[in-house]
Amino acid sequence: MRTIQQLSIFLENKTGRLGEITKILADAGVSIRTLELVEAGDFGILRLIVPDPERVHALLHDQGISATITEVFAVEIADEVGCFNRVVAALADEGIDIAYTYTVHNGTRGAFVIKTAQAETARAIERLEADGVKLLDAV
Amino acid sequence: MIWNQAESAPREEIEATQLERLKETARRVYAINPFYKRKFDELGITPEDIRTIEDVRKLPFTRKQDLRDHYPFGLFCVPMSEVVRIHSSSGTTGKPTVVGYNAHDMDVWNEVMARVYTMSGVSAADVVHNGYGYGLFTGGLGFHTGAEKVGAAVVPASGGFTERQLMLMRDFGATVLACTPSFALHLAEIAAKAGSDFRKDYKLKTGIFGAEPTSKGLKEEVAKAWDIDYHEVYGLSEIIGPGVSCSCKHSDRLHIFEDHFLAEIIDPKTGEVLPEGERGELVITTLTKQALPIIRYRTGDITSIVKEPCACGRTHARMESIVGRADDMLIVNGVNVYPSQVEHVIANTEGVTLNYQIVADKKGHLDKLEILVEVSDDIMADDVGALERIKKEIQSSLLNNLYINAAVKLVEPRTIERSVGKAVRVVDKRKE
Repeated sequence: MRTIQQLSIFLENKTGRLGEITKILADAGVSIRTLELVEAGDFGILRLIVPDPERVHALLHDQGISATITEVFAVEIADEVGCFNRVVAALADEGIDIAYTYTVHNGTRGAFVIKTAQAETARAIERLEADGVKLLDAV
Repeated sequence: MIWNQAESAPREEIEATQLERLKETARRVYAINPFYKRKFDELGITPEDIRTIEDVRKLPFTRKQDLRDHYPFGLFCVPMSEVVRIHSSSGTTGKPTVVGYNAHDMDVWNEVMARVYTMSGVSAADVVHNGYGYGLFTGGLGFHTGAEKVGAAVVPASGGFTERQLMLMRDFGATVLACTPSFALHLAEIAAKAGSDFRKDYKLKTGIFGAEPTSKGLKEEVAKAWDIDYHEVYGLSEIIGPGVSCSCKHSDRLHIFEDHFLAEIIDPKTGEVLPEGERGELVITTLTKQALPIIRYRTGDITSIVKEPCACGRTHARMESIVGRADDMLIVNGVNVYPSQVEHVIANTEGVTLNYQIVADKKGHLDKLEILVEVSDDIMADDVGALERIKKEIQSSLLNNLYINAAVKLVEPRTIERSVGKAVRVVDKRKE
């Protein structure tokens, strides 16, 4: 299945905390492919896509940072108007809810990273591939 | 089965016995021990002022510090030639507290422990696996000689060596397990490695657990893990050791052996005696101890006492399983809050680990309470909604069960301060 492992990190909403985590990642030579920060009052979740997420998870755990690995998938952004609508419509047609989505730009190529309920991920990918949407193995 | 008829005596008879023994105890300590004489004199009372059982309220309190100040034997009321046993606390938080027994006291101890065993359905036919620590701690030897008194075969296993203890329990056919509830659970976890049907290799039918504060959830877990009856014992070395009270099969409450111990419930702040059924600090006066009689000992344990007779036939008053420590009590906007109650709520929230801290602070003139809960990897989710739900669940559970309005804040692992390895559970910023 063409899923990508995403790392979600628990962050208390306090000054300097994000910097402490990014420093740990930088010191360990971790290349961050993409990140998204979600804020919910006094805490937030930092979502990262990195090479070798298992290693980074272990590294963060050793530093006393709470994190979890989640399966998401990435679809390539075709260079045409309405491409995102096609993805959303297909999933809606299947009755699959999108939990959240964000975009990645990597030089010339862009992708939508999408999270659905875990039980529905395989079906979502199947449908999108059937529709000719290109799924990416990495971002 | 009831060991001694005294346990089911009519209330008037219990109180008549208590009064007679209280007078005798007060006379002894006043005549023999300078510490008590001075305390009585300071209050302007003599043993002759005790005419009714309520007059116990006129007597001075005794605290743990008094035992420490008179280390080691200053509060003993018999010559050392008469003392046959000495126990002591470890003294990790100051001078150790030392307690002594003469032959008569040993008889009293064995008598109350025989009642504990009988109340738990244990008889001469049983094999008691005693996993309480043997040594200066009163648990091991208290359970040991008590088991001998009822004629059961006792295995003095003491603590540690889990695998070997399990082997002994299997091979000797232990029917009764006596140890701390946490050790019982640990034993079950290790035993379960042999397979989910591990219980078929054991003959356990009942357990007598105590020596640590225990939530209802933990009790149920222990009873289920071993598929046995759970009996709770309460005691403290300053009073006698294990054997002050024990739960029967009809109630979660613990029968206090009132012909030996006079129990009161007081408001820990004012020292006033509270009405029957109200929660407060347990205060105990020994009625039959000779080497170390104690007047109105402040146990620091929070509980309540009811006197109505029990379905088991006993008339001895019953105390609740300890709900907390008086020293930990917080008063938040007039409501008494015990950290153990908060812990209980958190423990019952699905998926939350027990790393928490209660922070009391002032907001204007009002108190505000914040509960910090560490987000471990177990509850971490890539879902803001799920984390918010955990917060809300704890919040509404605190409101519904404890009537306290607290803000719950999720914090990162290891952010809760630890002192000597133990997490600091309560921070009261109002005092600063």
